[in-house]
Amino acid sequence: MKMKEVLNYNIHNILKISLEKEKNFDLMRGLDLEMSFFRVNEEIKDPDIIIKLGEFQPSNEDCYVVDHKYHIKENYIYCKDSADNLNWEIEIFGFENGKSIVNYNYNSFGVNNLISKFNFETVFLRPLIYCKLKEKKYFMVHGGSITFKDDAFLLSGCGGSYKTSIIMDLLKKSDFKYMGDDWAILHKEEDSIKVFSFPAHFKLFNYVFNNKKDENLTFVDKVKFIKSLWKKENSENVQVNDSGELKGIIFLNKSNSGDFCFGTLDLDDAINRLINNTKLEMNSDSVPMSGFSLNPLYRYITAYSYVFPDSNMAKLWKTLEDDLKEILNNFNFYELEIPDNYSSHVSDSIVDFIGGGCI
Amino acid sequence: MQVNYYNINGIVKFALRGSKNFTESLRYSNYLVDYLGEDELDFTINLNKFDPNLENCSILEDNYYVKKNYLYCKKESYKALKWEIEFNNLETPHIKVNLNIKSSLKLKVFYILLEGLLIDPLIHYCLSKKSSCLMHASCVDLNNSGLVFVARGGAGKTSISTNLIKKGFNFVSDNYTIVKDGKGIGFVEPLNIFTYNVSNIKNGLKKSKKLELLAKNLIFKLSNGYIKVFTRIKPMDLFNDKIEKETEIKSIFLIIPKENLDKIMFSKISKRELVDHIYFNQKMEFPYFDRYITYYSYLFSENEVSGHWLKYKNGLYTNLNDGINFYRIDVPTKYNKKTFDDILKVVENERSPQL
Repeated sequence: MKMKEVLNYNIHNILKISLEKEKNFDLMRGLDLEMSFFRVNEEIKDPDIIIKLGEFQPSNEDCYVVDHKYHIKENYIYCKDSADNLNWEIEIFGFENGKSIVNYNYNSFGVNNLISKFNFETVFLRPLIYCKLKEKKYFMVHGGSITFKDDAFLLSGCGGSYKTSIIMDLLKKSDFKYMGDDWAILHKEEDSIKVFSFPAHFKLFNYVFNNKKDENLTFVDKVKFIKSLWKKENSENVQVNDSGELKGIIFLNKSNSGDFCFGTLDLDDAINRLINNTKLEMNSDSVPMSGFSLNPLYRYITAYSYVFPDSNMAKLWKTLEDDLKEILNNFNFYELEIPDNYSSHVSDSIVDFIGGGCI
Repeated sequence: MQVNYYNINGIVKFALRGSKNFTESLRYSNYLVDYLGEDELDFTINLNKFDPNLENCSILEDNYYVKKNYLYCKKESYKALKWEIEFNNLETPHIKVNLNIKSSLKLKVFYILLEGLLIDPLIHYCLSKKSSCLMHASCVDLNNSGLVFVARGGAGKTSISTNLIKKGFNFVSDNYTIVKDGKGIGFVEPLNIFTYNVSNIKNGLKKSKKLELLAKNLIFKLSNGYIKVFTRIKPMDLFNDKIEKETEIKSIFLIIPKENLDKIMFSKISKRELVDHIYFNQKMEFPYFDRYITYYSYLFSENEVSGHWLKYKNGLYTNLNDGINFYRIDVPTKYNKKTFDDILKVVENERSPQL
């Protein structure tokens, strides 16, 4: 009988995840990149998401079948899927509410094994975390977040809008602390909005921050990074602020117009950006080397919505809009247009903007 | 380089410019016309290398360039097909699209894929602009009384309608049906035939088509489902004297396959329920187009593009008259003679709450 091991993750005591896998020789062991920051050693009781990696027998009896492929019943989806050289099957109990149990099996070797691992975290786990947090009225938003003298600021933008470079530059200045460079969690407290850190790919950020001037990694950099993980080389960890009160949201807009200016956005435009940004991030083709042109989980959500159009999943974006409008009402939003050739001038301006009391 | 013009039932008009393989589309051959003026066209697609107009754009994910009325995508792919695409005049009556296939091989199948990935969604989009709606549905007619079958791929649209045609109904549409003012209007494309929906028309097929079908099924199995190529058969070749251009819709049936059913389950549903199903069906049908809309909407809200899906949904409410009956039929995943007989009973009677 094969030995099992369980890895546990705890996101600020808001959401707990356990991952069960066979204990075997695994070159990729320790490369839990996306969620490494939230890894805990102690056992987790009553996790919100249980992930089981390895072969499984699907419980897909009495399902509706969409496109000969998606097996769907209430709160459940099963699918055997593929993209380029990757093949996987996935089964999710608690797909739209309650505790989720995910069975995931992939059959790939070498580089594809590594890709499958990344894929699971980015393609399947992250959107699932997103939905589970939303159920608890905690909202993940696509953006970097920092604190300045204990006030939190969100820098929201699509992929490639220099979120990471700006955060790296800001951290080199006094009074700024890191919360995340890709995602943040918002939650309405009594009279304020609290931001919780979500340092996705924390090991990677640490590596880049300690070894690079900007966020762009060459192939050699990536190899060096993976080597450092295998060798378990410890670079000094960036200090993370777990939470802070949200004081401002700045939307980053990279443009080739050459302009560099601050503007404002009204509530509707800001909500529109936050929601579409999340949709795009969930349905992005930017999973490295994956061969995905569209995110499979996004398709699963649409297939589920087709079968159950009255479900929470089908109303995901509408309820998100309502929730965000409620918590961000009376908040000020800013837009910063950034030239496509980045310079530290951008972060200097943000420091002036924040530090100068403009927000 | 050549240009061909297409007029879809006088509602949507477009031009395809490029190589013969692209412009002489079998899918829209029923709608080929000699000429359409610039002012008449809803969209034009130029298939050729082009220089994108990238000045003053916002850059999203280092792949999408967006400004008012404009979207450019540097690289996109579906299986072996790779392309770049530029939409000009997005919020005007005549959308101009530049498209360049970047795959090194220019396979004929790519042009077929582009029809589904790009041209069909543009037709869908322009129909919605003109207060008509495209539904992923088949449609048959008897004495100007239309029956529409809404379903996802492989759920039985073609099988049910071809079975009914055998029983005396007329063909209106197989894969997509246009709905306008309560009418189901034919969107006549070749029938997409695969092994699972061939049984009702097998006898009418030529030997060469039967062989083509077998070969494509073999390729499908050998490629582990990666290469799925339908055999395309023109409706005129099968139902020549039994084709109607349009029909007054009497009933719409939503068909959803379910495992372990030994008989069909039939129930009446509301217009709202049906519209919600059609809406998600259409979103599943055009995922790339949906994503282009989202990129544009990220920067520009409150316009024709960002409001498209809401307009589509509202268009369905308006165009599906209140007199139409709406039903849902859960069907077994594999049809047998009894399944067809039961469906036939339902569509003929429309009165048994459960068979």
